[in-house]
Amino acid sequence: MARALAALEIGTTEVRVLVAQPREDKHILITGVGIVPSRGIRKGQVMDVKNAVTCVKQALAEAEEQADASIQEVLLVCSGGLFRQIVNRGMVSFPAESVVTDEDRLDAIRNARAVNLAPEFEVLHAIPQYFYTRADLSDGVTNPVGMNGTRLSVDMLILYAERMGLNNLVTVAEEAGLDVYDVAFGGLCSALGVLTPSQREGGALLIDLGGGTTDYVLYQDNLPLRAGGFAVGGDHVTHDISIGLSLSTPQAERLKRKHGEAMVDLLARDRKVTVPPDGGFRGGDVRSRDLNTIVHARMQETFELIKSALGEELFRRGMRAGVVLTGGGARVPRVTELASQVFEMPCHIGLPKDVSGLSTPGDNPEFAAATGMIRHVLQTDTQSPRGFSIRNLFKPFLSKK
Amino acid sequence: MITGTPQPEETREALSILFLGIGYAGMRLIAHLPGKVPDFSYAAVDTDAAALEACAFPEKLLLGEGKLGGLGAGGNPDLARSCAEMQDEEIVRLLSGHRVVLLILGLGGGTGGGVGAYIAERARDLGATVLAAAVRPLELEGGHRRHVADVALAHIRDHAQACLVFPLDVLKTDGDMPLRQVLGRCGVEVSRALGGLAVLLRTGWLMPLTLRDVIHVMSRADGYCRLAAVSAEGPDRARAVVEQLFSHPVLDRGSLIAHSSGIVMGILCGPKTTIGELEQVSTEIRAVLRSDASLKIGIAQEPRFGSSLGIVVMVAERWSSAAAPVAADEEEAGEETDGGEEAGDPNASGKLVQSEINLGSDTRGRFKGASPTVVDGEDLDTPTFIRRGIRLSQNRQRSGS
Repeated sequence: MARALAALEIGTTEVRVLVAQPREDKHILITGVGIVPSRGIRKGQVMDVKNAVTCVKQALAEAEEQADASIQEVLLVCSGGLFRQIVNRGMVSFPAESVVTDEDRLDAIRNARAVNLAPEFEVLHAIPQYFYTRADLSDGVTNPVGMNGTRLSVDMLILYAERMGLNNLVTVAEEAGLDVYDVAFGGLCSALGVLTPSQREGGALLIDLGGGTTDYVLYQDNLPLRAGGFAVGGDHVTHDISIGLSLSTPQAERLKRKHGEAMVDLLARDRKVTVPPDGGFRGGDVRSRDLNTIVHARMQETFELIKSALGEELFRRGMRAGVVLTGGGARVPRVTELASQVFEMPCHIGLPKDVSGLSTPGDNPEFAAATGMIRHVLQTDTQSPRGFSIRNLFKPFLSKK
Repeated sequence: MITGTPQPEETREALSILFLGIGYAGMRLIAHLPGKVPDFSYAAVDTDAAALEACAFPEKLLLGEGKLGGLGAGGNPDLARSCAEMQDEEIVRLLSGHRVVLLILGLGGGTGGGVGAYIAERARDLGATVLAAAVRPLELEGGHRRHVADVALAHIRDHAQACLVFPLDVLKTDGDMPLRQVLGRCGVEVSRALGGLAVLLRTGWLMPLTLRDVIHVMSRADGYCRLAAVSAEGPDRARAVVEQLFSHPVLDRGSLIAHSSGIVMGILCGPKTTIGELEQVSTEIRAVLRSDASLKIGIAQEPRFGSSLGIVVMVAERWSSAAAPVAADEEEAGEETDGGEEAGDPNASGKLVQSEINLGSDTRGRFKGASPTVVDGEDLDTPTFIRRGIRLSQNRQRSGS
């Protein structure tokens, strides 16, 4: 039986530890889950190491107890507030028309990976996209080996992040007594966790609506064409509610979870929702239309940010699978309706796929990234189809302490 | 507040308005209008001789006959524009003598996009007020066509005082709708809206609404707007027209009204419509508006409207990046001479409005200390509803704890 893997997600709302046993039929058997409300984390970044370490330790203990195992190393999921993307083109030229070899392909990839970044940034993912053998870039294939051409170029999606922010997350894991075995961008993990191969092939926009950040990945032809994130999430919705309706943060959070909707129905009768007093804040009645107006405005803006970041790329090749929402924000009623309206395409909720064992992860969009991280490591362990290994990229980074 | 004070019916100065259909789509959309609203001038221009031949308008202009052979521009806006430039004198002759030129066209193709922008420019040069009604292509027509549409719309906007945009996709009620039905429905909605606009611009008004009102309100936003017309009969007609507005697809099911910064509304009614019904319509619409929204209402009461109650509404589509400064607002308001109701004026309703909230640094709340999330110069940690000037009805109905 394969060894157990553990994924750690230090989120703004919750710290999650997932212990999984990979099975031969590609299912992931979940043997342990640890969930603890976060402290010391804002927008996916560490604000208070001590509190964050305490949360990780508690979540770890919970997961270890359930799994009846001792966890020494984890796969760390990082969210999009830290990340930025560029698409870099690398090329190799041939003296005369010749058949592209695997060596040429790797040379082009190597050249495309070479980007100059400011010293405070670190490349975490370099993912080859389409290869071109024609000067006018009119072809665009995923495997150019065996084709004829006078040159070979490749577009590389490069995701890089602030080194300091990443180091802080790694430090929290290490202070909790864990070795960080691998690090990955949460958006890519979520895509692997919830999108089916046919969705990735046909074109889908995956949006992970997290507590402190929102990550997105645009898939087409089984390639992540664009990816990124914003340090805006469910925490911002709660914050907006607390400001707009003069409530404490816990009052606003409870109100959001119980009554918040992503759409404002002007025809529906406006309801009064009673908010009980909390910690020095008075209770009273608030209007559901006000609540939903606040939620709608923030979530609509978040979707518009993603749409604007993707620009024309969103429509260039057709998006047959539409938009897939996951993460805790996907639980907000009518959020698919809003996303469908903003992106002008179908939208649905994506849950972790091919997960068995404990019932929690398969039913919860919050576990998309953690289950995807485990799936990602399993894939890169057994195969390296596109000539790169995430782990090899991370090793130098992880050793910098 | 609408008062019951009787006013003498005001006869509008006859405006010379030209409805100019550009390209096949433009001609089709207003083909029925001369029969229903005969007071205006109608003309058509196209690069397709056969389409132009089928058009029954009294004035028609075939562009690029020598260059294109009357076969159309083949979706090439640059080619279509060059043909228009070569026939500048004929275009000027067509436009001359009209104070208002309303261009109707389909975006994404050659003639609408290329010729539309040129004619808008020439009409403006001649001193006319230029409005453009443009239909955006369906998503299924592909990214390139949408891109061409966006570029053309931006060029037209450079010269037109306001662009009325009709996105075809919003008129789909569900995926099972046949394409012919979608296109037919679009035609009906656009025609009805343009017919409503024609009536709005030229009728006897109890509470006047002028072209200047339209331009003034629209210029407060980005100049892009949506236009819709609804009507109802029967004892519950007031409620019915409001419901139609709040569920109208062109208005994003009422969402645009709630979030827009500029709205022009013409109420058309028969002699039996009561002041109570008009107040009901006005109150329900004002209840959902932003605090800084500029609303202009005109009312025409004529026997020819019988027992029906109709509303033509023109809504600024895009978010205004920030609310207009108060001083500027007051200055603009001072220029107004008509009796239109400024329902967006917070002082008029006496309600507490969101614009009174302190927008200082304390709106960052729980994000104090975290790196600010700034995108395109906007601090996203400040609540979205505040940055977008969205009014909440919340009136502090709190009980003590």
